[in-house]
Amino acid sequence: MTVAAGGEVGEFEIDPKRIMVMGVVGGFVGVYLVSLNILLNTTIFSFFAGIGAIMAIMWGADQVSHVSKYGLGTGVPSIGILAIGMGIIATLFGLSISYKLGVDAIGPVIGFLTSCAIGAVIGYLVNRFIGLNVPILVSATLQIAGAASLTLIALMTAVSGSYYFLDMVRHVIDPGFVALILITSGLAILNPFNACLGPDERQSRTITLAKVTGAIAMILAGIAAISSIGLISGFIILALGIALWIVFFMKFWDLTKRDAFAVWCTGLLPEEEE
Amino acid sequence: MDIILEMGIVALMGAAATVAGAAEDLETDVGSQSNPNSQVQLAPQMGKPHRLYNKAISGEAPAYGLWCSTAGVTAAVLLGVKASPIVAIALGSLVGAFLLGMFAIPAHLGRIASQKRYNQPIYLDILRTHVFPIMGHGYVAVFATLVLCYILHYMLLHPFTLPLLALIWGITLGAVGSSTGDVFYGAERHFQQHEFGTGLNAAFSGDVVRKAEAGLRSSIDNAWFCSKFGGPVTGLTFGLIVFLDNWRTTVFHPDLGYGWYAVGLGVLIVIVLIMLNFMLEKYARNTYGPYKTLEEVGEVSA
Repeated sequence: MTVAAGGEVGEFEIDPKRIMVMGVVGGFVGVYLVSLNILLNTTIFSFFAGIGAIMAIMWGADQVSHVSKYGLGTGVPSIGILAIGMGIIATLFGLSISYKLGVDAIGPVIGFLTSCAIGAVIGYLVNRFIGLNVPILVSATLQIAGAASLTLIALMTAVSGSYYFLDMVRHVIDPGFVALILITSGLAILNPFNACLGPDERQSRTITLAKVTGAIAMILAGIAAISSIGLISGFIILALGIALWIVFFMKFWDLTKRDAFAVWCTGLLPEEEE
Repeated sequence: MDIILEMGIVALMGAAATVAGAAEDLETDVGSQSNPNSQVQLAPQMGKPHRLYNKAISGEAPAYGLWCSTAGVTAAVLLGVKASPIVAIALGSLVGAFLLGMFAIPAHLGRIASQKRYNQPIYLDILRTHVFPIMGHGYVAVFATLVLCYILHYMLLHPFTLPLLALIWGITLGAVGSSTGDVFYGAERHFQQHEFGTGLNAAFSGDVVRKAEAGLRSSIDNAWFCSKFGGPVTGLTFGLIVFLDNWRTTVFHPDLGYGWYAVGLGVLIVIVLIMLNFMLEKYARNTYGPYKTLEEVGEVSA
């Protein structure tokens, strides 16, 4: 392929470390603010986890865009699917082991750390034995796995109204909503870079699209939450997701107009380049 | 359940799957998703700006997994509040189709905006005219898949929940559309100005047809072309997969202790299909001649 996957390697409009900190802190704050549900014996604070999921998705999408620029010989979607593959196993392991040990409250942290560890091992093995020799691969797979795990935890928390393993099993896994959460997380993380792929891809536009797909993930979590935690709590997540989607999409449209060669209502083909 | 009734249900599932496959393929042709999209993506780089829809959501398989599982979750939520199955499936599919639209618009805008240096403009009329056929075909595909999953869960009492079945069959549908339909959309349509049988030489990369019978070609013209053969054949493939897969467990029902016979029949079907494919390829090579080497041809004409 002669097409460059994205903009130049190593050039950032926004520092990836800043996005990482925003993703980790935002994701965990969102998940743990759902503790208000337990304190106040309600479910209406579940929407915080949805916002946390958007932050984690931004982080994951940013890392996907950096690692994909090396042209791994695989499609961008593969990386997203790899991410949720690494994430879901580690997440469920973390949540269930903390339940077994009787420390449910730290389940999300254990899941997140396990996922990061699996990501780092996979990145190391790929670099070492398949010989890709991509300098950022270990750090990227570690971060993508972490972001995927945090996204899954946050969306499952939003749907079940709690980050306790038994609640998740009852509200997310038993009714099969986990199927939607799994594939939504994957697409929300992989789609921003895949959809903006091209030589004039810019990080700010890709990140904005990550917010758009994150808001879509929140909308879908809201639909599932209507059934699991009640009409009002679910509707809050759904309505907030739709509102955020509109705001972020308008921002994306502005950035598209900024970056595009031209936006025409209609017209013939431009002059061909020789 | 009576075997005659169950056979009828399996046939109905096969019919629904056929509709789903055809609609899925045509949707990805209007949207130019999947493998041939890389040629649409390359065209401006080769100095050939176009008026085609360039939609990259992901592979067709994960994308259809998402639309179908969304529809499945919405339908399950509605069925949970005792909505009628038809209403639940219809509204669920509507949400799935809206979701497809929500992903399709930024996918087109993002890819075209990232091709600034090749003078590829964003045509808003292309966006306006293509998004609704995309959502419409997507709706039909998701609806038919959900009907199939509903029958599987509520009538044939499959142990998996509706969203999970929708995810699995959605991924299967996308995979079938990607593997079967793309050939007709890509090699047959995008490269029809090249001599038949010359293969897709690397030098032709991005040289997609940009002019139509009259005026400039849009992706809706491609759906018109593909609806003649590519779409129906995709539908046939998915319909056969669904029908044959459920037919073998209807004939040898696992509940009656014939589970391993069903597995054996599955293996037999695969062997028969491999043999049929072999015979078809042999027939095609004998009839249309073997592929010629460069020495035999002398020089490449195209």
